Amino acid sequence: MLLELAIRNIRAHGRRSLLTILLGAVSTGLLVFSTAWMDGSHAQMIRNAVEIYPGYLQITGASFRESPSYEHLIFDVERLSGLLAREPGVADSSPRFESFVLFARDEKAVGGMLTGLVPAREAAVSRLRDSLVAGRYLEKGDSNQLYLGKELARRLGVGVGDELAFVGSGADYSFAADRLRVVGIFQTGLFDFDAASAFMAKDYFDTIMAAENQATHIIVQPRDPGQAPELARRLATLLGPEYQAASWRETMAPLVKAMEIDSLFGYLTLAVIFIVIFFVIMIYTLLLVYARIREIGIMRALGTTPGQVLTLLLLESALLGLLSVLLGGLIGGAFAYYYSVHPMVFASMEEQFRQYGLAVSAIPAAFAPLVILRDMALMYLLLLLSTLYPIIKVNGLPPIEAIHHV
Amino acid sequence: MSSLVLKMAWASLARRPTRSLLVVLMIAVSLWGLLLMQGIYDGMTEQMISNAIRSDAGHLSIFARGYRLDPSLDLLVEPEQGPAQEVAGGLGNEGPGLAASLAADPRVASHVVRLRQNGLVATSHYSRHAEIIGVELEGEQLQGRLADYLTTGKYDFGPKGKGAIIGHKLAAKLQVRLGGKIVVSAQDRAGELAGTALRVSGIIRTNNMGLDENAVFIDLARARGLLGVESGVSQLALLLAKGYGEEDLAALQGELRAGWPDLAVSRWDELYPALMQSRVLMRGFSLVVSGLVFGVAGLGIFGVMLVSVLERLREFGIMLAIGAGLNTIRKTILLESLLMGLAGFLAGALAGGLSLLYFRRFGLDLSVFSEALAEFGMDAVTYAIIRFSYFSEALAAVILATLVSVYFSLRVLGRSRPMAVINKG
Amino acid sequence: MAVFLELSGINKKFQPDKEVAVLALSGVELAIDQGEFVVISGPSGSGKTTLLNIIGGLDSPSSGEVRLADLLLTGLSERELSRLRRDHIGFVFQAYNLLPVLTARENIEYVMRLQGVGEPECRARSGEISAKLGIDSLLDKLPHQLSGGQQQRVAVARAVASTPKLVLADEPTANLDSKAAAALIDMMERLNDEEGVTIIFSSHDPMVIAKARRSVVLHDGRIVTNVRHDLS
Repeated sequence: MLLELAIRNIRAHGRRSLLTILLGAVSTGLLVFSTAWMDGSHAQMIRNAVEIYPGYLQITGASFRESPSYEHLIFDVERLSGLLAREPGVADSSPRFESFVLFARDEKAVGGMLTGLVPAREAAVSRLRDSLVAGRYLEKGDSNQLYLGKELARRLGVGVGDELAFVGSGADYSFAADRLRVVGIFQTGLFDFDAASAFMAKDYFDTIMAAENQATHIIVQPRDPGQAPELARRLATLLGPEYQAASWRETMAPLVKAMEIDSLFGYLTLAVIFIVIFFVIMIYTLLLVYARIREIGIMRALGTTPGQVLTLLLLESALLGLLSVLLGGLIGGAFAYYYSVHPMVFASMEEQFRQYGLAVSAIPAAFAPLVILRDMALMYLLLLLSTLYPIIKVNGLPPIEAIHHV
Repeated sequence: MSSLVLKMAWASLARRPTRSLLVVLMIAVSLWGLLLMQGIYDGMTEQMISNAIRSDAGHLSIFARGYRLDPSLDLLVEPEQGPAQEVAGGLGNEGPGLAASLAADPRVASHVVRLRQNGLVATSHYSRHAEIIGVELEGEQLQGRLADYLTTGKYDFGPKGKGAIIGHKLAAKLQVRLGGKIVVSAQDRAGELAGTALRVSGIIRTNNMGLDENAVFIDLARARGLLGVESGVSQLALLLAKGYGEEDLAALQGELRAGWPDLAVSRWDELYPALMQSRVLMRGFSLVVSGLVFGVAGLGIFGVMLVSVLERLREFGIMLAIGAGLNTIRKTILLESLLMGLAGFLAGALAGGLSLLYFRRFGLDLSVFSEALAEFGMDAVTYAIIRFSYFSEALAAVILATLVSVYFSLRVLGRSRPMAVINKG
Repeated sequence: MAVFLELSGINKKFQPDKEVAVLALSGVELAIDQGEFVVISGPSGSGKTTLLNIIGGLDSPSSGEVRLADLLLTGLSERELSRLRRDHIGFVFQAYNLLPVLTARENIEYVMRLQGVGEPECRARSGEISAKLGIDSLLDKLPHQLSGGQQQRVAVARAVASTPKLVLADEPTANLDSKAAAALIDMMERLNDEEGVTIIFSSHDPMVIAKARRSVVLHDGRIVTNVRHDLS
C-alpha cells in the first residue's frame, strides 16, 4: 500500500518530481560521462605512451633499473628468449641494447641513444615500425643502416640516404665508432624520443659494440596486455633472482600516478558541482514535504506510525532517485558509448599533450558497464542522502503541529 | 518605507529558518568550493608559468634568428651590438648595445645571458645527452632566484669554476651525487669535440622538465673556454620590472624587434605555448564550472522564492487591500532573496578567502604525489592565488542568479492576482 | 454502563514565551459512556480543539490523566499512540482531511489497510458504510472532484469504517453550508445509533449543537455546562 501511495504522490507533484529527477539525472549523467572520459583518456594516454616504445613488460638484469650500467646487462639473451617463447602468457619478445652515443655529421654533433634491435621481433612489441615517415624500416641482414628519429635527423641535417658517424663505448667499455647510413626516418609524436633516438639491426650493432647475446632489456608483449602485472610476477619467479621483470605499472609509475592525480582533481571539481545540486535537491525535498505537512499530520492522526510515514517518504525519494540514476546512467552511458566508438579529436591540443610526453590527439571515452553501474549506485546513495535530512526533520514533528502547520 | 520593507523581508526569512538557512548554506558551500578550486588551480598554472619564466624564458627571450630551429654556436646574440640604423653607406649598428639599452630601460628589471650547447655528460659508468648551459650565477639569482631551486649542494661553481649544477633527473639517471665527477663533452665552435671534467656542486629541481632532465649549468667563462666562443651568447632572457604588464611587454618586444631585426624576440608564452594553453584552458574550465554551479544554485533560490511567494499570496492580497503598491511587494521579495544571496556570498567568500589565505601562506602539500606532479611540470606544494576578481565575479554571479530566480517568481506572482486569492478566502 | 472515557484533573498550559502562559484547559473532569453522542461547544479559543486532541492522543495534557477503555493514555510512546489511534479512534477534521492522492474508497479503506485487513473485507466494509452514508456513487472519485459536504461524508465514513470505539470530529461542519451541515450531523447520529460508536464532536453552530444528546460547554478552558438531553 505504501509503495502505491508513494507512486501516486510522485505523480501528483509531477513538475517538482520531474525537476528532481532531471537534477539527479544530470548529476548521474555528468558523473558517468566524466568517469568514462577521464578513464578513457588516461587509458589512451598510457596505452600510447606504453606502446610507442617502452612496452608492457620489461625484463632487465637484476639491478639494471636502479643502476643502468653495463655490469647489469642481460648476458644470455638467447636462453631467455627461448624461455619466454615457451611461456603461454607471452605473445612475443624482443631484445634491445640501448647505449648513449654522440652522433656527428660534418660540423654537427648531437648526443642521443643508439639502440640495437631485432627488426622483425621489435615490430611485434612496439609501434616503432608503424612510425615510419620516410625511407624504410630496418630489415634482417641490415648492417650499418640506421632508422632515425625525425627531430634528430633535422638536428643533424640528414635525410634518407645520407651518412653520419657515431662515437660511443661498447659493452666492454671499448671505444666504438662507425659510419652509418640513414635508411628510414620515424616520428612517434613523442618529441623528446624523436629528438634523441636511432635504431639499427642488432646483429651488426653487436659486432661493433661487442654486445653479442647481450641486451639492456627484453621487451615482452603479453597475450593479454591487461594481465601484464600478473605476467611480470610469473616471469620474475620463472627467470630467477638474476633478472627483473617489471610491467608498465612500474616502469611508467609516474605517468600512472599523474593520471590518478588528474582524476583526483577531476572528481574534486565534479564534487563542487554535485554539492550545489544536492543542496538544491535537499531544498526541493524540504519544500515538497512541508507543502504536504498537513497531509502527513492527518496520516499520523489516522494511526499511521512515524515509521510508516518515514518509509513512505523514503520510498518516494528512493523511486525518484532510481528514475534519476536510470535516466542519467542511460544518457551518460549513451554518450560514453558514442565517444568510445567515435573518439574525440583535439588537433589544437597536441602541443599540450606533447608537454606531457603524450602523442595523442584522438581520445576515446571508456565504455565500461560495470563502472557506469558503480557510478549510478554511488549517485543513488548520494541522492538518497540529500533527501534524508528534510524527511527526518518533517517526520520528527508531532502530528498536532503538522496538522496545524502554516 | 525602505526600512519597513527590509523588516518584512527579514521577518519572512526568519519565519522559515531551515529553508533560508539551506539556501544560504548552499550558496556559501558552493562558493567556497569554487573559490578553492579557482585559487588552487590558478596557483598550479601560475607556478608552472613562473617556473618556466624564472628558470628559462624570462618574460622575453632573445635568440639569434634561426637558433631555435637549429641551436648552433654559429647563431649567437651579441649583447654589445647596437640597434640597426641607416648610416653612411648602408646599414650599420651604432648607438648603445643591446645589453646596455636593456640595463638603461626602466621597464626591464634584469636580464641574463646564457651560452647553450647540446652535448654529452658522462660518469665513469653512464653517459647521457645533456644541454650545457653557461650562466652567470649572480645574474641568474637576481633574475630567477635560481638558488631556490637547489635541492642539495651549493649555489656556487667553486673558486676555479670547476663546479656544475645539474638537473635532478639527470643526476638520478647518471647516478651521480654531490661532489661526483662528471665529464661533459660537446662540439666547440670550430666543430671539434671538446670536453672537460667537472664536479657536481649542486643539484637543481625546477620542475621545468627540459632543464631537470638535461641541464648542466656551468660557469659562463668556462663554457666560453670549452666551446671556443669569445663573445656572443645563445640566449638573452629578461624580466619585466614590477608595475609593467602585458602591454608594456608587447611594446618592448616590438621595440626590440624593430631595433634588432636579425634577432628573434619571443615572449615566454611563445616559447612555452602549452603553458599559455593551460592557462586559457583553466580559465575556460573555471568559467564552465562556475556557470553550472551558479545556474543550479539559481534553480534552488527560484524554488524557495516561488514557494515563499505562493504561500503568501493571501498576505500580499491583504497588503494590496490596505493600500500597499505591488512595487512594495516586489521590493520585499527581491530584498528577501538578495539578503539570502548576500549572506551566502559573505559566508562563502569568508570561508573561501580564509582557506585560500591559508593555502597561499602554507601551500597545499601534495608531496605524496610529487613524482607524478613533476610529470606535469608541477611543484609538490602548490601555493594558492587570490585574486580580487574571484570575489567580484562571484558576487556578480550570485546577484545575477538571485535576480533571475526572483524574476521568474515575480512572474508567477503577477499571474496569480493576489486580490483574487483574498476574496476566495 | 461502565465509564468508557474518563478525564480527570486535565490542565493544559501553552507557554509561547517565558513571560506569557496561556491556560488552554483548566481542571477538566469529564466521564463519557460507551455509545454516547456528545457535542463540545463554546466560543473560539475556549479549548475545544485542545480537548479533542488530548482525548485522541494527539496532544498530551500538562497534568491530569486520560483513560480510554481502562487504558491510561498519558505516558504512551508515539508509536503506541499511533497504534491506539489506528485501532480505536476515528478522526474527522475541519477541512481538507482526505489524503489527496487516494480515491474516496481508498480513503475510507485507508485505516483498515493500515490495520492489515484483507482487501475483500475492506471492499465489503467500504461498500456497506458508503451505502449507509449515501456516497456509494462517489467511491472512485478523487477528493478534489468532490464538494466540501461530500468530502466530509467520506471523512466520516473513513472514521467509522474500521469500527473504532470512539470517533472524534473537530468542527466537522465549519466549512459547510447549513443544509450540508445538518445532513452531516444527521448521518453521524444515525451511525451512532446503528453502529453503536461513541462520537464526540465540537461545534459552535447552535443548530448543530442542538442535535447532540449530550452537550459539554467550554469557556476559557473550563467546563461550564455538562448536560444530557434525552430525546427519546
